[in-house]
Amino acid sequence: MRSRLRNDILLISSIALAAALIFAAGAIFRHTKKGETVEVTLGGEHYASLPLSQDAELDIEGLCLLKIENGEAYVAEAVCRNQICVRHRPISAPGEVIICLPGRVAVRISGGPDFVV
Amino acid sequence: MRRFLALILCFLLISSGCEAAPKRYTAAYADVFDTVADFTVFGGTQEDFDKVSEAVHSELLRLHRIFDIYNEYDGLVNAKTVNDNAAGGPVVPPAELYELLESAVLWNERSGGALNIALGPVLSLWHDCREAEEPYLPDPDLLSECGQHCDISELILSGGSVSFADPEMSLDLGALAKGYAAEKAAELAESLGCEHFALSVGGNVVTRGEKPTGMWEIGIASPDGGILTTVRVAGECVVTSGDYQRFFEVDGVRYHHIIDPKTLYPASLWRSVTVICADSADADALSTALFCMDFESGSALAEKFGAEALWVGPDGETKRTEGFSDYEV
Repeated sequence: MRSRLRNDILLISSIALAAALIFAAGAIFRHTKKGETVEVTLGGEHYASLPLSQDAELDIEGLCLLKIENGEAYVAEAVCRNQICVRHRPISAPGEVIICLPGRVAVRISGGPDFVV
Repeated sequence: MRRFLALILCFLLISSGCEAAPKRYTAAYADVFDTVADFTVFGGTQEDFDKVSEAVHSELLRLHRIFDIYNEYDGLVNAKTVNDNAAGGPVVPPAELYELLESAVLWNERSGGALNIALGPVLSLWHDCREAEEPYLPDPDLLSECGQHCDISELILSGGSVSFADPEMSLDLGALAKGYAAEKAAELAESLGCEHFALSVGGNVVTRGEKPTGMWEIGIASPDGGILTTVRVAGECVVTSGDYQRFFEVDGVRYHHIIDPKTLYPASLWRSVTVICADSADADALSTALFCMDFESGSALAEKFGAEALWVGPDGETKRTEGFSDYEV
């Protein structure tokens, strides 16, 4: 009888502990900001995700050339006439965006606020 | 008893692992108001979202066409039609355009002329300079000649029809159209049952409700890059007018897109002005007006409309209305 009670207590406490652990893990991961990533969309659709921490070049369908250098992303070349995206300063802060309107390309740093205005 | 306990514990275990958080849906539209619009919704199903997203997108497209001063559309009387014909006699535009013009006349009075949609001739001159292969500065004589035809009192609004008393005048709705359209599209989304969403039309952010994790976070860009501060809102609109958003350079000097109606040159009082208020059309009008007004008159105007504002000055110094910091994280 006594051992049954002990087993019950053991079972109850281990389930409670597991519940607490899972809850805690959920709470922690929900509030952890994603690592800073450069998200590229083309015509509103996801096109590529690149880590901001790694120097890289990405040719976006011949429309724009995206470069990541020293933790900053910028559009190095674009085929459009107005070149607004090329003149845009490099971005690195979560939420910052560079848009190439004629190419319908958006480059965004993930994490951070929902919008930057 | 033991079974009951075990049941409760199992329930605890399950519920701790999978909270049923409302799903997040997003869409981006790249073909409205020469900018990108972002629509984010929490809750509902993919099917619900697709329906609302399509409605919001077509509403933005419809308003974009109505306020367009560069293109004509078959069977539509739009801002270009008004610009091309209103000098010859009354033109009857869609109700939305008439309403926007009425509100523009009001904002002109309220801001003491700092917001003027009749600046068309001057803005189109600057637009040509900026968009040229080799950007150049406008000829000063031509600029002041154009400035002679920017008197908004020559815009005659009467019973739904629009006419120009000055044949040389033209309208440019850039300062108001995006904010107004964002408000209208948000009203439409609400009427279709959306309760928790945010719509950004080229930096005019409209929010309704909250996210499952709390209020919407809007970063305010620093004119020199990065984020200056972040505000939290639930239901309010946020917009920034900044000298870094659209500009060109001649001989190393920057010329941005917000033209001061008094000088006819890019306004130089501030580098950016951010406005938070209940209505997106008001927020858009205020941010442009405040950009061309000093702090005293600007903050008085903001207060009148229950708006809060943040100014960034030429050396990066900031000023705020009293309640602005209540929104800051």
